[in-house]
Formats: sequence, C-alpha cells, structure tokens
Amino acid sequence: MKETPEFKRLGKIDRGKSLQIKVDGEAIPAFAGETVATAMLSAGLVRCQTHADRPLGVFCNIGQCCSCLMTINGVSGVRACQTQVSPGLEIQTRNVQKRGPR
Amino acid sequence: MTTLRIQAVVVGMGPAGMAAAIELGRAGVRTALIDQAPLPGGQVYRHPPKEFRNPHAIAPSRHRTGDLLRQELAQSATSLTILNDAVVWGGFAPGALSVHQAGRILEVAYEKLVICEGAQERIIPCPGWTLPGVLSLGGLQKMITSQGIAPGGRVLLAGSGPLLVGTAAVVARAGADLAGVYEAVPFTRFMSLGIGVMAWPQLLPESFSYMSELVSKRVKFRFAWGLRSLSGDDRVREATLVALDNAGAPIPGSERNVPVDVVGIGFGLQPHVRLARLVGCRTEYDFSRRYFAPVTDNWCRSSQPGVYVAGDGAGVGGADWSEAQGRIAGLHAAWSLNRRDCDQLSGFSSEWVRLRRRLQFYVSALHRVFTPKDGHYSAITPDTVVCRCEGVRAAELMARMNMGEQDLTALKPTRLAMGPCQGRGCEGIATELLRVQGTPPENLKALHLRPPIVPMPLSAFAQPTEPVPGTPT
Repeated sequence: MKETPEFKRLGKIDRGKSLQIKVDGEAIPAFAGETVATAMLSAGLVRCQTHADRPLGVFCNIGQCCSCLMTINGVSGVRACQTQVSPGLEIQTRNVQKRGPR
Repeated sequence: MTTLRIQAVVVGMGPAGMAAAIELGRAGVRTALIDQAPLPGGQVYRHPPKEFRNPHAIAPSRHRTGDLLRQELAQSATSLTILNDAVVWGGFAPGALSVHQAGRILEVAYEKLVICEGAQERIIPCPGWTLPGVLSLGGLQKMITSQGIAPGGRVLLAGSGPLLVGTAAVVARAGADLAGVYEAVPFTRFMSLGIGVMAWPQLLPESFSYMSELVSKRVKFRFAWGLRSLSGDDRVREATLVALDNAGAPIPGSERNVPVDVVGIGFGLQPHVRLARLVGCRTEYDFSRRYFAPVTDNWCRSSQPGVYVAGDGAGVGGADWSEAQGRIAGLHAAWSLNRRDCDQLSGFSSEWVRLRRRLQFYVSALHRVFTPKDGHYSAITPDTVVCRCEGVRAAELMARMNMGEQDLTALKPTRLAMGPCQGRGCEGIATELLRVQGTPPENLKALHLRPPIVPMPLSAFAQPTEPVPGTPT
C-alpha cells in the first residue's frame, strides 16, 4: 500500500504529540493542526480517489479543485485538504465508477 | 432560520478583505466579515495552524505584512462581527446572503457588500496532469509554508510567472531535491520585467532573496521550456519536457524525459469569480489578460448597486494592489453609508488611489510578460483531460466545437463543469480552447452559476436555528 517517496515533516516545527488516523484501515501518524492531505502525503499516500480507473490526489490544496474528495467518518465527498485531523479519524479513498447521466 | 441584519458585509479575508474591513470598522459601520479559514489572512497571508507551537518557523518573510494587517484589523474591530470557518453558498434575494457555518445556515442581510474572493491558479493542462503527485504551484508552496511538509524525491516545477520563481525558492529552501524549474517565457521577455519591478522597489528584496536561494542551491532554471506530458501508473513518475518557440509552441525533436516524484504546475493567477457572478455582477472576458473578471469602476463598484468587488477577484494584481483596492472599496462603502461629504472621501482615499496608480505600472508589466501565448495551449492534446472532476477530454470538446457549438454552455452535455468543483478548474481552460479555435469574442461568456456555490452537506439544511455569536438576540 505504501507508495514512496513520501513528503517529509520539517524538523523546525514543534508539532507536539502525534495522534493516529486511519486511511483505508491502515493507521498513519498525524499531528494536531495538520490536514488529512498533509498526513497522507507524509505517509506516502498520494491517491485520494479513483474516477473510472483514473487516480486523483490533492492538487490545489486550497479547497477549490475537489480532487481530494474522500469519505471521512462516513461522510462522502469531504475535501482532505480542508479537513483537520483528529484522533481516530476514519478515512476511505473513494471510487467513482463512471460519470453521471447525460 | 437565524437572520443577521447588518450595514455591510465583507466576504473573504485576504489583503483586500482585511483592508476593506479595517476602513469600515474605523468608520464605525456595523460590518460582518465572512471567511472560510479559522484566521484572517487569505491564501497569501495564510496563517500556519494555531496548533503548531512555533508556527512562525515556517512562515515566509512576506507574512509580516499579513501580521500587521491582522493587528490593524483587531484594533478597528469594535463594530465588526467576524464569522470564521464560514462560507457564502447562496444569495436568493437582493441584499441577502446565505451563509454556512459550523453545520448550520444563517441569512445575512446587508446594505453594502464588498466581495474579496481572491484568485485561483491558471492551469494549462498536458497529458497526465491529473496524476497524483502533480500539484498546482500554489498548492505545493502552501504544503511547505503553511503545513510544514516538504516534497520528497525529485521535484520538478513548470509553468510561468512569479509564483513559479517563488515556489522554486520555497522548495529549495525546504531542502527538497529540485530536479529543475522550467519557465515557459524566454529569458529576454522575463528580464524586461525588471523595469516593472523598478516601479515598485519594495519587491526588490523579495525578488533578490528568491534569486539568491536558487543560485546558491545551483537550481537548474531553464527559460522557454515547458511540459509536453507527464506519465506514471498510480502516481506521476516521468516528465517529458520540450523547448518552446517565441509563440510558446513546442519545438519538435527537442523533447527530453526526466524521472520525477512530485511536479508543480501553473501559469499564474486568474480572478476567482463565484460570489460576484451569483449576485449578478456583470463579468467580461479580458482579451489581453485571458480571463473572466467582474466589471468594476475606480471605486471598485460592480454593475450591481451596493456591491463592490476588490482585490485579485476583480483582476489579478497581487497582495499590495489588493490591499489598496480593499481600502478604496471600504472607504467608499463607509462614505456612502454614513453620507459624509465627497471631499472627505477623496481626502481619505487619495493615499490609496496614488499607491494603486503606482502599482498599476508593475501589474501591467506582469501581465504583459506572463500572460500565456496561444502556443502554450498546444500542450493540450486531444486525449488531455480538461475537466478533472468528470474526466472530460479535449477531443470530446473539440468534437462539439466542430459540430458548430461555440460557447461554454453548449459544451456541458460532455459533462464539462458538471462535477463537484462546478467548473472552477475547467471553465478557464475550455474558454481558451474555444478562443484558440476562433470562437467569436461575443460568445466567450462565463458559465451561469447556481447555489450552492460551495460543496456543503445536506445535513446543514436540517439543523435547528441558533443565535449568531457576537450579536444581540
């Protein structure tokens, strides 16, 4: 599951104690103040959703592009780049099979 | 439903919004400030998370200007109601906005509205640009300066404009392995910007610190080069670069492959025009700058009575320009509410009008140098995805155009702009495809927007009403 290389947390930031969140059942570390997108990239996870076999990950990082939509604590379509982590957060990558009706 | 009745509303708390709110607050106007972030600052002065114990360790030097504005805002805040973590999602009657905050909906009724929506990045796609590991330049920069994480592996940056140089410096400073920076503009045109910078010497230290960072780290910086394509499986693995001619078109045979792990792309900024369109402000396509922008006058008044649009959301000019715009809009709104005399208004605003005039020279130079050329759009091959959300490829749009369809709305049967981002990403790209195909100018019209203009949960509509914090009930 782990896809290297991951983003590195800069050492000059004092982030306090780590907490854990789960992405597709796998526990990854995170720190208060981080977004879900940050914790995922730091764990080497770049894919947030798959659209008809096309993987998508965080792109704009300011909540505009909606490429990082995930299922977070059971709510579908939540932006990973705009969601702060909290202990025990459960996150699932989304699979969107095809486009909507024409 | 809770209704907040107020004299003025400022939406967006970047430099323009903070400046407008400061002037309104100082004039004693009861004002509501609405912003999606927990702290004011917008994107350019985005505050690192409060939870980090030493957030300023990663904040860029420019941040000090943001701190000064935040202080000034706090000092003039007696008549201000601040709604943080809040978004405007609708406007169903003149003089009223629907706001979503903390899972509930409230109505805000206003006499004057100052819209400071800011900018979004201009993207010119190429095959493979939707692969994970490819971020917008600003998105990548904010990962470092706001979240404090640096990309691992080989990083490649491509595109054009000040954000490319700025992001390169930030990536290099963070100690990442920068495989190369590819600026689409030729060296001579890039250097002609120097004249513009001279008109605004405050930028010299910042420009110099970027350059010295890149030189001291021996970063490979190429002019008149761009991306041909990106490839990979579950994430980006390889970039194909190509030399560009003076019109921005690729020079055949010059292609070069580079292994990459993270890629940043972007061709500068364009106004983020959502709320302004929703409340009916007239928007026009700007042919010299190649984007849609609301029509505004010297006082930042839009075509809608009582509605101002200020800052990058009215036409890209950067943080200092946006602050001047916000001051002017805020002063005018306060003046027209308080019915003070005209001389007072011109007296108070003259400083900011002069500053804006000085900045105009630099802003025009930026647009002249960095606005993409038609050739840059030839990176969009038929199989290039234009709409990230719905996976609509350029070939599908071209087929419709070849059938004679000549405006954005007529392209929607492909599901262009029908996904969750509601066309934020693809509208500008599809507009350029239409223009390059020779669509008549009068057909270049922005899409019609419908609420909700931001994604929001249905549960918000089912919440019981609660009083608005900070207001008498």
